[in-house]
Amino acid sequence: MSSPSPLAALHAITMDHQEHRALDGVSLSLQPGMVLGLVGRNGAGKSTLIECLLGLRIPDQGQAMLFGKPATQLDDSDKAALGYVPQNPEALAWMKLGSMLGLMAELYPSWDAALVERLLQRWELNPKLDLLKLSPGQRQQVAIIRALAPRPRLLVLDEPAAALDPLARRELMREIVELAGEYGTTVLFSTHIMSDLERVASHIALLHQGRIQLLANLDELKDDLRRVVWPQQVTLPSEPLPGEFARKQLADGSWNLVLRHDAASSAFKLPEQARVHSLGLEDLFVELAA
Amino acid sequence: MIPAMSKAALPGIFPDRAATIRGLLLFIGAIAVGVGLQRFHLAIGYWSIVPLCWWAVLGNGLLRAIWDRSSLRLPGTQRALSQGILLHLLLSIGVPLLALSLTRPDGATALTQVGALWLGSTFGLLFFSSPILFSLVPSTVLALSIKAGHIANPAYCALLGGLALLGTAGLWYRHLKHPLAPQGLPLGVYLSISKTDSYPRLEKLLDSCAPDWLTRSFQAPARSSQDRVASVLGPLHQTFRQQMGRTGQYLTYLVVAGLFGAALWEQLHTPNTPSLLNYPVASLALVVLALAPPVLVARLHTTARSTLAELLLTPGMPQRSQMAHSIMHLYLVATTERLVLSSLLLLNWITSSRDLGPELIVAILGFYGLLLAVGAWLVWRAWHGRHSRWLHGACCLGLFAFGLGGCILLLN
Repeated sequence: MSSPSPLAALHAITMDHQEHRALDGVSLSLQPGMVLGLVGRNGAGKSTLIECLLGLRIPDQGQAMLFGKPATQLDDSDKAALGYVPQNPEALAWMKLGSMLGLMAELYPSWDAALVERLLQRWELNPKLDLLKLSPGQRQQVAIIRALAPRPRLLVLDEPAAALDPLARRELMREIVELAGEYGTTVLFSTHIMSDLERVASHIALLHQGRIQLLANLDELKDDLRRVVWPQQVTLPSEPLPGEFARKQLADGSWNLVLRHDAASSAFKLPEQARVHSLGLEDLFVELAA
Repeated sequence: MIPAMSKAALPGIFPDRAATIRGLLLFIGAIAVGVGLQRFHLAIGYWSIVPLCWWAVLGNGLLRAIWDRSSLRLPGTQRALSQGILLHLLLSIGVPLLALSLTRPDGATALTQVGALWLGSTFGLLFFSSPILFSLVPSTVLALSIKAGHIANPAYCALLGGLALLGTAGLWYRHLKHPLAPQGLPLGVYLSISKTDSYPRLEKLLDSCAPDWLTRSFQAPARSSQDRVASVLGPLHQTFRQQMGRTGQYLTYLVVAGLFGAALWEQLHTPNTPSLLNYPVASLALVVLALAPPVLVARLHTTARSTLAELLLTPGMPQRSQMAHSIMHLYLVATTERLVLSSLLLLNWITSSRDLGPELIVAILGFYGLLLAVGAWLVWRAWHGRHSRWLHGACCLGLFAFGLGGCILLLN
């Protein structure tokens, strides 16, 4: 059975940015209904990846596709099906909140005015406020409302929770789950907050040094991955072990390995002294990105 | 001293270090030009322009800080901001006064100099505190005061400067307590926003549209895609109609016509020869007017990426392939409108000593054409990510020199 065609895809994207390779042959596809959490260290290229995907940056090599067509050739119906929260949502700063939302409401056929009203009330945002005078967190809330209101098929959020308080973050996560569950919205969001990721993501992608180092179903990942402390007394093979993701030598000469659980338990016999630990997402991030 | 608790307010009192150094260099340059031209019996009026330069290059950030931070309840913030204004007033007057004390112009007493500097500084503050369109009023009043020679009267300067301060206080009361609308944004705040992202947009107040957007699900867009691009880019790329609707457009034309009439009336009653200062000011104003938008378009690729996203990802905007054409069209229409309105005031100023002959009209139209052509070329380059600060600076200098040279050749 063939899988459905991806809603968005990057094909071997390479991009240099200020004499630095921001993306190095990145390929990624977003299947409909997927909620993909994109993680990576600061400067790993998450925003560049997102901007390439949306056609805001033209990659040096490779191609970005949205809704089955090149990301630079979207028509109005494609744009109406897309919601985007940029990392620094400072556009239209001269407007009042209500005027900005009024302008946007004119342009989206499926604008959900009730959702806007509900979120404005819940986040205590007065439509008469100047956008210029809002705090960074409030600006982010406004950008989220502006992105959610069109009920998009594809929602892309670039570190949306960075400036939000815990309550607003939970609210945002709830809206994402609702969008994905009720409307089948596909979501891509970058974040540093692992608890958010665990709460809503169906998949996780780790971007490290311009490459996708890991792309996996989150539940499977949490079940399968293990950290193995390989004893100092036993020589570690120089070749990667079956299912190995990462290895790092510790100060005492022993090794820290990240392995898939199946591989660690059955396909390869670990030394008796080896200690096997389960791995949380944050630990995984540290092991893979350090 | 500024209270320790108001540290949060401090960063806004002066721009960042690089901008402060650049601003100081420009300000000292303006003083040096004045000192250098003393031998040509430079009018005292020049020295009232110098403090205005201070507010242009160093004082805008403070006005933005007042706008942003006035609502902060941090102890000492209000006091720090008030002291910031006092500090700017003192520095904008004190530094040029120091230079003047070394090279006192012929016939100018210390009191006359202080009066001119005081008038320039207070009008600078008023100018940058005024709503964008109405900033024409203080600038014209100052220009007329210089032209009529009232600037040499210390009592006149003291009185008018005091009135300017009162006006400024009233404006800020209005800005902070009862904001008129986005179109009431002070010029200084507008310029400060332009440096980071984009510009104020003149919109109807929410009150009139809130019930509409809250209740209706969808309605066919009423504006053209050009108008929408202008909405996203901001007022510098908008015509007065796009900013304020037809009524606002006609009101603006009326204000400019009124100022033109006042200037004409003043010229008829107090005929005099134009000052050497008039030509560079007129040339500079036109060059700045025409070449500011490309810098802001260039920021779409750096600090204003969310604005770029709005342009490229919002439905109802022109296709990406047509966007460059759309932005250049907006630039040409909006800038032409501004140049025409400005020329009504500037022509009156620079041609006060001679009739407006056909050769002068052709030269001015040619200069406007050149400004628009270079500006549109720079906008095109900026949109395609090829903005170069050096090229932009060279174009500014070249056009300024061209305009100044043309004025001097044609009018003398």
